[in-house]
Amino acid sequence: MTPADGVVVVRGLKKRYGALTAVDDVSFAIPEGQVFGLLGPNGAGKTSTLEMIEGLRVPDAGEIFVQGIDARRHPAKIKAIIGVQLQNSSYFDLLTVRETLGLFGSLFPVHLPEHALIPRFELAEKADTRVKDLSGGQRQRLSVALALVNDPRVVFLDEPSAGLDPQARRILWETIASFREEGRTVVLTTHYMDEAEFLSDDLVIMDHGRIIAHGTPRELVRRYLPGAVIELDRPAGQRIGDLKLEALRRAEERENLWTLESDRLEDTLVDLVQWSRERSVPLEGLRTRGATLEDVFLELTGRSLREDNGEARPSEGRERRG
Amino acid sequence: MGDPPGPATSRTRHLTAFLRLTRALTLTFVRNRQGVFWSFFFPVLLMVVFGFLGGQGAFHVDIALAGPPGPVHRLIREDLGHVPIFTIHPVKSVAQGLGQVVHGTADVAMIVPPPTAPQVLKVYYNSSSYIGAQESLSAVRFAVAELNVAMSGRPPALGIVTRPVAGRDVNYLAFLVPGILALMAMQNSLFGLATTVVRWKERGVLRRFFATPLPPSTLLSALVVNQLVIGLVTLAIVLFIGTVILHAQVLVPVFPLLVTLVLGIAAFQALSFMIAGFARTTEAVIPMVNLVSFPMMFLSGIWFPVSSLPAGVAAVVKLFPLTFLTSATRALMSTTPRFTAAIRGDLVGLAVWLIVTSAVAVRTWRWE
Repeated sequence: MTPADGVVVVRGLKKRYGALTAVDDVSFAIPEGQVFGLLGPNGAGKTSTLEMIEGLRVPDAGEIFVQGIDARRHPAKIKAIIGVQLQNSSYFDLLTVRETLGLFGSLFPVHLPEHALIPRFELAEKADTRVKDLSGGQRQRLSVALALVNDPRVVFLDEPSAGLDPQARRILWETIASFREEGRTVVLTTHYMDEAEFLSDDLVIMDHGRIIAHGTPRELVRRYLPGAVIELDRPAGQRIGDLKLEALRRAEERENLWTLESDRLEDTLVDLVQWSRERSVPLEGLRTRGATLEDVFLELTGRSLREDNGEARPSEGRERRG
Repeated sequence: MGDPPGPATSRTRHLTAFLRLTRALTLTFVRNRQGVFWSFFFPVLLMVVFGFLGGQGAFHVDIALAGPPGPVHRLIREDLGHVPIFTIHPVKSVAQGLGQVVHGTADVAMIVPPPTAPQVLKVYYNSSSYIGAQESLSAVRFAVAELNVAMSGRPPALGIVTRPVAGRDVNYLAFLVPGILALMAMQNSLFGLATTVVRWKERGVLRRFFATPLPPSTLLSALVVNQLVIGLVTLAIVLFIGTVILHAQVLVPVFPLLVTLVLGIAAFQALSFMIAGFARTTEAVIPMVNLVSFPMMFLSGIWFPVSSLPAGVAAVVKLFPLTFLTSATRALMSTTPRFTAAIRGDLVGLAVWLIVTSAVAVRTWRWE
């Protein structure tokens, strides 16, 4: 990989906090105009990776190029040209939306005027409302609007939909898709697989600081789970361990739901129906679907994306530089 | 996309950013109505209470009277004892009288000469409370001069008639106003700056600014300059209320006072950054600020002269930054409206605090 391989190029990036290796030899190249997703559970190293590119954290090793500029040597140049939305950031509570956009705009050599940003992020009604009086969704839209204030070619969004209701998330997805239509490159972290699947042209799955898979959502599913998934309510009195079905790759029980991954859906289904007849067990809530990124993650790590993996690890947004 | 105003040079851009930040911070201060209210409430309340209740004549001299009993002793006891501002405490020995002066229970010790010695009345005062002592001494001198006239039965060559005019009557309000200004300079800096900076760190405000090309130093200098200006405006308003509305009889030498208060605020700002370097959360910073400010608030001569503290405590309290600031401000506003040697000493004390706390703050400071 060379700096010319993409608008963002990262090579061998490493970051340690004491004994914890938060980012462990991460490399990727993002072609211009794509939405690039970093998918992974909390503590996977997504935020640390992003913040090193943004010049907010100093890597222990590795190289970073943004638009051909060496980000480790010229962090100020990078900060002037990229757009950034951070997790858990706040602004001056007593300034209005319009004043906040104007203030941040004035910090950049080139900036979009407030009157262009306000309607685009559906903040027109709230333009003269103080930041402290905004709802969570409005505040998030302001955060994303601020990422666009310097008219950047590359926009970094860190968990942009965290804490939003489904409708607000949909609006946000449309906004992010519109960035791509304008030719901007978007780098996005998320732990929602549907978000990564919907938005990403290309994505990496991270776990424990490492990239464990890289490809388009479709490629990843095809590569790791070519079959399909059968889901059904747990039949009363039955144990998932007793299932012996044709072409069954993996069977999981969670919250009274059985999830059966199959290499050949037809064969597994026939067996399942026969099994239910033999035992006179009704198959309730039965449905089949193609595999998703969630299943890929499960396949790769043995854990669910949103499952609390029980490790005492600080959430990334609150890590402090020692 | 968009209509950029054309590439500005980085210097004018930094200046623009600095001005926009200053404006934003000022708006933030003014819109915080509760904050504005509380920054005026106590200073003005105190001035009003002491302006009306304290009234005139709060000035008072305690005299420890030693020496052999005799006509002079009795005359002083009776004549001076009738003057309302004097209270005479007869003591058994010269040592006891001096002890009272040193410990601040008496302002001056008066030693009556034995009948055989020359008729010289020795008056001892505490040199460490220079200003208070000067006031006491001039009152005593004046009283003794009148006593002389009474004893000799001869009118003095030049008689004095005193009439109060709207001049510098030393009352408690006049004593208090310079102290309140100094106290406000401290409180505004410590509470305004230290808590703001830690809250910014904690809530990710600083972090968001670091993701922009704004140099962090520009952000902090905008904050510091803004706090300084707001602090001075607040002090000016309180001083206006004190002098024009409540008629505190103080001098207002604008330039020396400005220099002194700016130096004081700067020293407390550096102290704020030092605290903000140690504290990680808003919950931690408030007790730390209290720990630092409470002893100074009570002991640094705002409410009563430092010299009235026990000598050992006073020796320590004299090194507090608020003691330096109070002492300099009070001297400028009550006796000499220019930089005397004593005031210059206070300013040097403040400068040392500024330098030391700045040095520590630079070492302890963390951006996140």
